[in-house]
Amino acid sequence: MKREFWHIWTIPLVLNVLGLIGLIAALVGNDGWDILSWISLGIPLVVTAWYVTKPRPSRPRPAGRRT
Amino acid sequence: MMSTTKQIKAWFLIHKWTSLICTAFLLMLCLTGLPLIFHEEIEHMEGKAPLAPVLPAGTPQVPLEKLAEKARQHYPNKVIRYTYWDEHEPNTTTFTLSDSITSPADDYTLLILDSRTAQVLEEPAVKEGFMYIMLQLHVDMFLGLGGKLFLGLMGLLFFVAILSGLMLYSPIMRRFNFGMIRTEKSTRLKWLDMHNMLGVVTVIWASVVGLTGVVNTLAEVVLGFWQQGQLAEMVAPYKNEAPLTGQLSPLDKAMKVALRTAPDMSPSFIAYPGTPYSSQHHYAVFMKGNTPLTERLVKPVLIDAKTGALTDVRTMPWYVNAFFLSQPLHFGDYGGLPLKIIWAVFDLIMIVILISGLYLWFARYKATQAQLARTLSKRDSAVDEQEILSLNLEKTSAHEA
Repeated sequence: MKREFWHIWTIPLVLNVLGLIGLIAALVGNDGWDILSWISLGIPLVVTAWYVTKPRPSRPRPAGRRT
Repeated sequence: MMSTTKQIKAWFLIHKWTSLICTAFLLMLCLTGLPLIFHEEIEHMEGKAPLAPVLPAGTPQVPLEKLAEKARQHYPNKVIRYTYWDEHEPNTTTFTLSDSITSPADDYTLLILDSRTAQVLEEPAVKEGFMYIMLQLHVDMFLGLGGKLFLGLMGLLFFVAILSGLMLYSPIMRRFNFGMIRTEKSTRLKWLDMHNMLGVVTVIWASVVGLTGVVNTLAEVVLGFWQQGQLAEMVAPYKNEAPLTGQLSPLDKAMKVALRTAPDMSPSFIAYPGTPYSSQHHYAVFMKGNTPLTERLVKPVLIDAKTGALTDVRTMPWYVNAFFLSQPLHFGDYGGLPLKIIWAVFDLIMIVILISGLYLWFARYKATQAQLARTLSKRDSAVDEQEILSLNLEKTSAHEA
């Protein structure tokens, strides 16, 4: 149960916490804080881009029961 | 996190209907919002150099009252309602003039003067051009307060759609790894997986920008509360005073008092007596802080417009501060150009999520029919719980929008 929760949510949670840090950081200060915000908001975008562009099989596979 | 089939169904229905209602408007908001993120850069690209010419450093500023006089001469049939300082245009003072002090808020003309020479630098045409159309569509679809509040409601539905989408993510992803996109099975599944992945990684950004957008639609409501509350309290002693007549105390005196009262702050704007941001008897000088956080927060300094003496100064109530703090979080203009680019990328992802959601809803009918046929043919065989769930999820997935 617990393992299932973390299996599903670890990556989304980490990415969204990073996003939240990024949203707040630039509000707190300039310079260093801005850079922190770019990095922590940029990571979710880079990770997403990686998953979107990841090569995947495109030809249909033999039908079978999904597991 | 175990959800029953029934709960999943309920979240699915919530997700479907909140999304369906708000999607068209959200698409419009994302499309018009995209150029608005870069409005400063676009204005610069259009060739707008800094307005004020370079003069020797330390060139003294002319008195405010002289600038105001110039503005009145320029528009002899109008009255000044506000004076403000644009931080992006150093050495300028801008006057907002209207036909009368009680004109509607959208009746205004801007006049930008050089603070050191009192020369007219520009009378910006604020109500025309591409960016004006984008802004007006984005704010209220040219429908005034009603349109604005309606978009606020759409923003709330959008937030419910995000939450319900989140509730569907877990049952769908139970048996898969993050980032799974089933490209090999069908276009529908591919876009479902894409929709889910893009949706889940943008939850925080979309929620923050969505909810701060909703807060922005409440500008008039916030102003009304402040007028009835704090402003009324501050000017209570003047409640029964006769209306102002004759010459007012010079603006410069008001400014001096304000700077003395809030020495560690700088002026943001001045509201003239009789405007919504002041009383009938006061100049309201709004002072802002000097740090990235406090420059969003203003402090009203009320100055008797007849005597030029300080009446009251307060810190704004929490709901006004919350309103001002929500603005940068919506605009994305508080962390330089890289933050704006990040904003734009998130905005584009939102467009993909919205369109794929719409596509999934269209594609659902075929899938549901196929699913139904399969379910019926299986009726005789024993169907265990896991299978019910997965069937339902197939259906849920199909509708996921």
